[in-house]
Amino acid sequence: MSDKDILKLEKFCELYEVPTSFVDSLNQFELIHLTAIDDELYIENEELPVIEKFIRLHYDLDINVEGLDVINNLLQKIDTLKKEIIQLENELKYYR
Amino acid sequence: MEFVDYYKVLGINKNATEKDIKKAYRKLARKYHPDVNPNDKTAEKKFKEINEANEVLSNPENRKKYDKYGKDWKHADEIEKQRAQQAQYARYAGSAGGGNPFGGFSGGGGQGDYSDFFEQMFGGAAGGRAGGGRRTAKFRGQDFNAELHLNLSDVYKSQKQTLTVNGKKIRLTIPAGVEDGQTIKIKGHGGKGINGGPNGDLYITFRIKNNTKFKRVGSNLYLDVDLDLYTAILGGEVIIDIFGKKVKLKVKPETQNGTKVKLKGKGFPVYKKKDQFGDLIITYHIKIPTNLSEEEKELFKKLAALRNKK
Repeated sequence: MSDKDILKLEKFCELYEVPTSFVDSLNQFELIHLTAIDDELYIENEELPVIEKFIRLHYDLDINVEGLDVINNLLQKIDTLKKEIIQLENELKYYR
Repeated sequence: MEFVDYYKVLGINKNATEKDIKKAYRKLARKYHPDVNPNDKTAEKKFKEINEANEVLSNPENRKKYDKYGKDWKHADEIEKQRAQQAQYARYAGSAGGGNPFGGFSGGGGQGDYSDFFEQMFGGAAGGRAGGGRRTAKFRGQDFNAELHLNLSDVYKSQKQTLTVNGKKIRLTIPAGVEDGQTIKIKGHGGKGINGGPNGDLYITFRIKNNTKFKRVGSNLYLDVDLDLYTAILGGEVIIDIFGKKVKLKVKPETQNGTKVKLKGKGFPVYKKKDQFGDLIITYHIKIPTNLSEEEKELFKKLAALRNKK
């Protein structure tokens, strides 16, 4: 992993104007994954869209971290169901 | 632009308090927020509407203008100014009226479904805020959705394609084994972010047309193969073309009509799993010869007699 792929947690919070405690809570709820290198916490670039989504939901809709966890689980379920629908539709084509 | 009743959009009446507006907005925003309704165009449209309504009604000054001028509320100051000028003119001319105080204003001004005001705030995007917090006015760019039509034979192998989206060329590697209806996300290739916000994403949905003799279910392929009677009885070989690769297949003697044979790993590539393939399932259909000659009929009769002796 190169330096380009990670962003220091402090820098992230400064750029996005969010408290470290919020990102820390997301990490504690295992909604995101923080990488520790030499006692410093980093965010992998791949995680950025996910964290951005949680920030928007938290600040736009006043949803607390517990709520984000529930939403995240439900969205994952929806995603799985959508994929299943696509697969089943494709299987149905076989019999048409 | 059509007049939008912001009170109706938020489901409140004209006497609603600031608290009522906030409550109604929060409730609807939770329901229609694009992050909880990914790829839902209806929710996206609704979210734009409720945001626009909230931006206007939650600001007491804008609300006052909206209540007074309706769809022309954005031009309230200009209307007032023109009214004052006309009143002054009327006084000088010694007569009142004589002219439409609203003349010169077409109302609305935007060409799309939403007002300029909202376009300024959200840039026509559904993405909402990135960068977090009410402190910044950074907005994530709009997500773009596109469809890519391919033939089944095209997705047997990974291939590179260049797409032009909004004038920008995007080089794309389409992994082998992509499914019909599957959507992939290309990060940052959607609409441009506003005020330093990140770009939206580009979602490409694949529409795959089957241009082959195979039927595909996931990564398994199904093929009906016709066998002549003699090969079915005596055994033999058939050659099957699998996307340009010829596979020789032994047919067992006395193969029955409808027999299925599974060729492991000869099916379609498994999406994003290198060197992994599904199976090819072959169903034999035995073709009975027609237009038999007299000699053939005699021989079949002999065969039948032989069989009946057993």
